[in-house]
Formats: sequence, structure tokens, C-alpha cells
Amino acid sequence: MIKRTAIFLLLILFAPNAWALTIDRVTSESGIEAWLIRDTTLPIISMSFQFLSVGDRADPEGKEGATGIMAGLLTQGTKSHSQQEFQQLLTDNAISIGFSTDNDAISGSLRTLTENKKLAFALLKDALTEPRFADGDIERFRAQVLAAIKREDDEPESLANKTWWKTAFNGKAYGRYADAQSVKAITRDDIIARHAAAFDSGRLIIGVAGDISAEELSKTLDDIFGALPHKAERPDIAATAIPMAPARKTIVIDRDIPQTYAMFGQMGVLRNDPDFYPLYVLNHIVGGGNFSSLLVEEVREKRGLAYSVYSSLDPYAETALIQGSVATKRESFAESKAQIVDVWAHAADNITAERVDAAKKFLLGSFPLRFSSTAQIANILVAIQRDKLGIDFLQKRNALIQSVTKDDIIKAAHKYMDPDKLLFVIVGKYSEEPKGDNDK
Amino acid sequence: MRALRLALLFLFVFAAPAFAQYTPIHDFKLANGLQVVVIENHRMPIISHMVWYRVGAIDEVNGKTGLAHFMEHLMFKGTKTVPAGEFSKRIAEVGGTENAFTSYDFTAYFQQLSRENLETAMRLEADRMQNLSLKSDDIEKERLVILEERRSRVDNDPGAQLMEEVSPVLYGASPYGRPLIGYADKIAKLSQDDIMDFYKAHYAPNNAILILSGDISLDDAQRLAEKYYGALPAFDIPARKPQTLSPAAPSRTVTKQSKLVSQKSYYRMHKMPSYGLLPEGDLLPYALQIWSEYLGGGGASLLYQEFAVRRKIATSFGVSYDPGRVGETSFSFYATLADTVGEKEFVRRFNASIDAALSKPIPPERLSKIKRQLAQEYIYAQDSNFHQAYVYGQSLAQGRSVTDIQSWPARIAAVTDKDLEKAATLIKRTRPVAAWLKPAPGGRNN
Repeated sequence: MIKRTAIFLLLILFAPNAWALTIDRVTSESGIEAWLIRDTTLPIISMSFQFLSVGDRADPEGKEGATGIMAGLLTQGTKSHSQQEFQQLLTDNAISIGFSTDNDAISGSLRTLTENKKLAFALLKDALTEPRFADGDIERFRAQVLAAIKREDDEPESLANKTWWKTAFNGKAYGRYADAQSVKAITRDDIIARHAAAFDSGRLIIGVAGDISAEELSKTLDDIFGALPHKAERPDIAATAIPMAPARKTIVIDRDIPQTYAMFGQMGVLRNDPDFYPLYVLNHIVGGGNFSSLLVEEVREKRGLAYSVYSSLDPYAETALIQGSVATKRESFAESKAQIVDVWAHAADNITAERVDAAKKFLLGSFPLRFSSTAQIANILVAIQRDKLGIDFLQKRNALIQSVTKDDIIKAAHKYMDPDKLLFVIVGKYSEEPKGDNDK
Repeated sequence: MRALRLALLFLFVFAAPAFAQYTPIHDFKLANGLQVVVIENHRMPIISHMVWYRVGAIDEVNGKTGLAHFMEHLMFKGTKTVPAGEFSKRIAEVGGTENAFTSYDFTAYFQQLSRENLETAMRLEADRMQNLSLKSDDIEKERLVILEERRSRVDNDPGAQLMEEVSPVLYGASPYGRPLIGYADKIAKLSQDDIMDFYKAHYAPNNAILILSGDISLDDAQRLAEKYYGALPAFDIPARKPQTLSPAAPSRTVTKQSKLVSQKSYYRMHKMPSYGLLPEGDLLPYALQIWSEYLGGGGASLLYQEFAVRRKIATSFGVSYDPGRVGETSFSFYATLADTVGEKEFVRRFNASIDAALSKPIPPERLSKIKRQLAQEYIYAQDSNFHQAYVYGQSLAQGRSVTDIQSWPARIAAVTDKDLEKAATLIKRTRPVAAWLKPAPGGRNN
């Protein structure tokens, strides 16, 4: 029995033209739901899914990395196939199946040609429900993870990023990281426990795009996910964000490299916050635009201080940030930092009607570009479900941005953008300018 | 008997529903020599608009390294009618994303936008093809930006520094041995005259390829290409210096030690011919691609299994071979060592296993599976407007034809055991350059 509870034909009107995307809400016989955009341009099917609230933050104390390792091992051997066999089946049939984790969720993806879909779906089911977790594969994977951790600490960008999060959250919640000690402490039992805790279809959201019908998808959902327990509840959308710790303003990791790299950031707003859209447009003006943001203008275009400087608005499940980065030669880094702080301090003053208009034009006009490949479309369908934006979101989205006023944005700038709240993590050589009072 | 087996193999390969082109491709040329490729994909009303110039780092002369890349940056800095920075502003205003990139063989500029705004991009791109007008102030600022870019890509990255040291050893005096972004002291000296001379010498419609990929018909593409690019005059382009395979590399190991690195990585690189150095349709570069896939194409590949899974001497391993170049290229093996293996032991085992693998034929069943896999991957390349535009633009800029590109799966399928043996022998007979990236003694103190 197929339960198709709703079919929405979405007509989004852009200036004179309209484009239509049909999202099918497909429900399987056992109640597993997926959102589908069918497209037969190519014989390709892409599936994207997330198991919510069982990401890295769910790792037990002292075992940071366990969920990530468990997820990575799902494609490294199952009850029916050894690591080599499983990988060979994927490669030989041009099937991609992958899993990854972040703080909030375990994500998975599948891409297959139509002609190989039966095998692809069977392998995905296999990986999810019957991973082998062989000792040899665990040890090999552990060694790769330990190598990756070493590399992270070698590279200024990843070191700055890791240090920023650890500092901002005092090593808890979003500030926990796997290290050599925690990774070495993870046992096979830990991995099995993470697997048992994670894969419940009660916390599963799925997006599918490409060459498959709703009827067929309905059956496929049960084939792949039907055997999973369905005991968990879908987690609620968070009402408040976990705050950053009162920050030490500037942390410097001294390193003898020619170019100094910094990550900076402060609190933002959750996805469903009423201030989200004003802040979204504000961030585009401040540092999100490609070549026309305040940060790029002041740091790169006017002064040639950096090749890359930007900011981005990043809501997560239970916290939200505005983060950015910059890289400048060591002799001039203090000047870059001063410019960034200045942009932050005077953001409200620089919100002109012209900038608001240009930002909106870009954000509205570039929306269709996100729907280029089947994989991108599947990911968007997951994001809409994750943030509970509604099946009519694609229809509403542009109006939500269009309705943001210049005053809304100025208010948001005054309310949120505070250079005194910025946490800077700097990797490289850094000395404060003698007369700078921005860095205290 | 062998002929019969070959015939059966051929039948098997053609029975598979592979080499299909789901997104129709058209190509034509304007009177001024501009090559145009149209790729139709009507999934969404969006389009990728790309202009590829057949000019890159290999065309730099008199030690002016970094000139092609600097040129690319300066293409955003104003024309006679469009002030510096306006190009990007106008594209953003119509909801377009954009960027550009430089390589050894080509420089490319692209925008992605809704179909209804395509003409904005075409107008602007055609304008800067021949109307660039630069201010010295803008040039100086962009010079600073490029030096920061070099710092990010090279000065802060020991692996990139190693490659900058290895390339001239591997490629000798060939332009592929020089850094793409240029040496800092050379970047510092490039003058406005250098830049404008380079621009006038290379930026012409008869030295360019226009790609329109997405929601567009052939009729519209012809009309719009003519409307915006048709009036640009062609002019004589200096002939590209013919590329040849440079003399054999010396038997050397280049070592870089760095405090910023905490693991050992090893590279074995063989100078190899590319499509550009061989007659069209020669199967050698296709055989090399199959070897690359077989030896190191992923977690199930022969040598990954041996080094990372069975012997546990590496935590990562791969093979790379880029056949697309106009001139010479390399067939390279690389690995990050496991903590537990010594350097001498690693190199001994690494080389022995590679040579042994190259000395045996690829098992027939494995070979036919690889061929099928590669043919299937050809379909994925068509999923995204941008990706297909990129593939066609790059290949054409490097001297391929549309037929060449579409013949790829068939040529892969046509590779025989003899072709594979010839390719393997070439690798074994080509003296490699080896390289180490190692932690410095004393290490990092943070």
C-alpha cells in the first residue's frame, strides 16, 4: 500500500518567469517517509538521509570519535561482504554509498545509475543493518583517523577551527573533539553500541531526486530501512541556542609560518528564529557575498590584505554562530584584524538601500542554481525537513527574503553584531599593533 | 583463439547500455574563429556560461612566471565601459555566481545564472575579451592579493613547497616544471606592459571556446553567440610552442623536512606522454588510465589492498595520471606511511609491489569490470550543467575535439592486453623521481 499524503506542485515566480518543481511526500507501508523530486533527465538516482541527534555530540565521555568511526566503518565490510568485496561491488557498479557525521547527525548518501539500483539499495541496507566491524578494519580505520588528527593539527586552518570550537564551548557540547587518546580508547563494543543507538527510523529524514517513481520509492524505503527499529521520537526543534562561553577575545597559537590565519566568530540565531532572515541578508552584506561584501571590500579590494576573507551565518541543531576567517602575511595581520573588527563595529551604519537591494537580488536570483545535480536536490530536501521548514518552503522562501526591510537589517546589526563578542583564534605569528585598542 | 576472445570481449562491452549521451551536444564555430559548444540540459532553467582561452602558464616567456594567473585576476578590474569591480556586481545582481581559474594549458572564466539572465553574462564576458582597461592602482592592489594567495597555497604549505621543488626535477626546463602561480619575486616585477602585451597576444575569439551548458536550445545559442561575440575581430595568435616529451628525469629523490608536518609521505613520479603528445586515438593514455584505476582507484584497488589492508605499511595510497595536458604529464604513486614502518623498508616494499603488479597482466574479468565502471561514470559527468561544461571546456582548450571527448568510453573499451603491456613497460622503463615529505627533527612545539 502506498501512502502518498500530499503532492505539491510548486510554482515559484521569479520576475517574468516561473519554474515548477514537484515534491512528492512518499510514505512506505511501514511509515517511513521520504521527499522525492522525480527527474528523468538522466538515469541517475540520488538519495540523501540523516539520522538526527545521534551525531558526534552523542559520543560517550572519553570516547570522542566513536560515532565517526562507526559511520566510516559501515562501508568497510558487512556480514555478507568483506571490506574488499563491498568496496569492489561499489566501484564495479559505479555506486557511491557514504556516511559521515557532524555534531548533530549521521548523514548518508547514495548515488546510482538506474540500471544498478537494485544492487545499490541492497548494499545500502546491508551497510546500515549488518556492518561487520571486523577487528582488522577497525584497526586500519583507527590508524587513518589518527593520521587525520595529526594532519589537522599541522594545518593552520583546521587547527584554528578546532581550537575555536573548543574554546567557544569550553570543551563541552559543540566543543568536544576526538583526539589521539579518545580514539585509542574506542573498543569494538563502543562501536557496536553507537550503531545500536543510532539507526532508528523514528529519527530518520530522507530526500530523493532523480529517476525513480513515488510507487517504486515507497517499496524501496521499506526494503532499505524497514528492518530498523522505530522506537525513537523525532527530536524537537531547539527553542534556545547553547551559548558560547564568555570568550577570551583573542587566542594566539604561535607558529613560524609566513602567513597568519585566523578564524573569528560570535553567536548567531537558530534557523527558526524570527531574526533569521534579517541576519541572513545582513551576513550576505557583511561577508557572505562573493566579491561585494564589506569584508572583501575593506580587506581585499581596498587594501590587498587577503586573498580570502568571509563570514557566514551558521545555525546548527542546538547552537548558532556567525563565523568567518582571514589569512594575511604576518607583518600585516594586525591590520586585517583591525579592519574586520571595524566592519563588525560599524555594520549597521553601512546598510544602505543599495546594498540591501543588491543582496536581495543575489539571494533571490541565485536560488535556482542550487538545484543543479540530483545529489544537490536530494540534500536540499533533507535540509528542509531537518529544519522543519515545510513542504511548501520552496514556494515561500523568496517571499521571506523579499519581505526583509532595510530597517530590519539595521536592527539586527545593532542587536547581534558586537565586536566585543568576537572570539578570534589566530594561528601563526601575531603581534598587536602598539596603538590598537580593538584587541583588548 | 585470442582473436575469438577479443571479439567476444568486444561484444560483451557493446552489449552494455553504456556510452549514452543524455544531454544533447552541439558545436559550431563563428566566422571569427570562436568555437562554441552547446550542452542541453533542461532539468532547471539555469545555465553555465564559460569562456576558455587556450593560454596558460606554459605560454609565459622570459621567466615571467605567474603572468597568466595575474592576467586572470585583472580581467575583473575594468574595461573601457565597465569600471573595476562592476563585472562581479552586475553578475551578482542578476543572481549569478562566478569565478575564474588558471592552469598550465588554459584560463577559464565562468558564471552560473538563471537562463533569463544569460545575456547579461555574455555581454560582459564578450566586453572584457577585448576591451580591458586597467589602472595602475588596481594592478598594485591585486598584486598584493596574489602574493597572499601564493602564501596560502605554497608558503604556508610544505606539501606544495615540495611539489614546487620536484616539478623542475621531473620536467626539467619544460614549462610544466614552473609554478603556476609564479615565484614571488617574479610576481612582484610583472609590469602593466607585460600584462597588456599578454592580453593582446592571447585574448581573442579565435583562441577561445564558449560553452553554454543548461537550459538552452541550439537556435538560441547560435543567435546569442553571434549577437554578443560575433563582432569581435580575430587576430593572429602566436603559435603555441610545440610540446615534446622532455629528456629523461634524473634518478633523484627530493626530500623536504618541515616542522609543520607530522607524518611521512612518499611519492614516485614517472614522466609520461599525454593525449597532446600522441596521435589522436592512440590508446596508450587510455591504457594508463586503466592502470591507474586498477592499481590505486579506491578502497578495493590492488595496491591499496596490499599496502593499507594487508601489509599495513600505509594509511593512505593513491595513483594519479592526468592525460589531458597539452604537453607532458606524470603517472604518480603516493602514500602516507604508517607509523610502524621504517623508510627503507617502506620504499623497498612499495617499489617491489608496484613493479610486480606492472609485470603481470590485468586479469580479464577485472579488466572488463573496470571498463564497464568507467563507462558508467561517464554518465554521472552529465548530471550537473557545470561539470559537463567544465569537461568540454577543458578538453577543447587542451586540443581535443568534441568527437574525441565522446569517443572516450569507446576507446577505453578498445584497450587490449597488448596496449596495457606496452603502457606498463613504459612506466617501468621511465626513471621516476622520488620525493619525501617528512617531519623535521625536533618537530613542532605546538
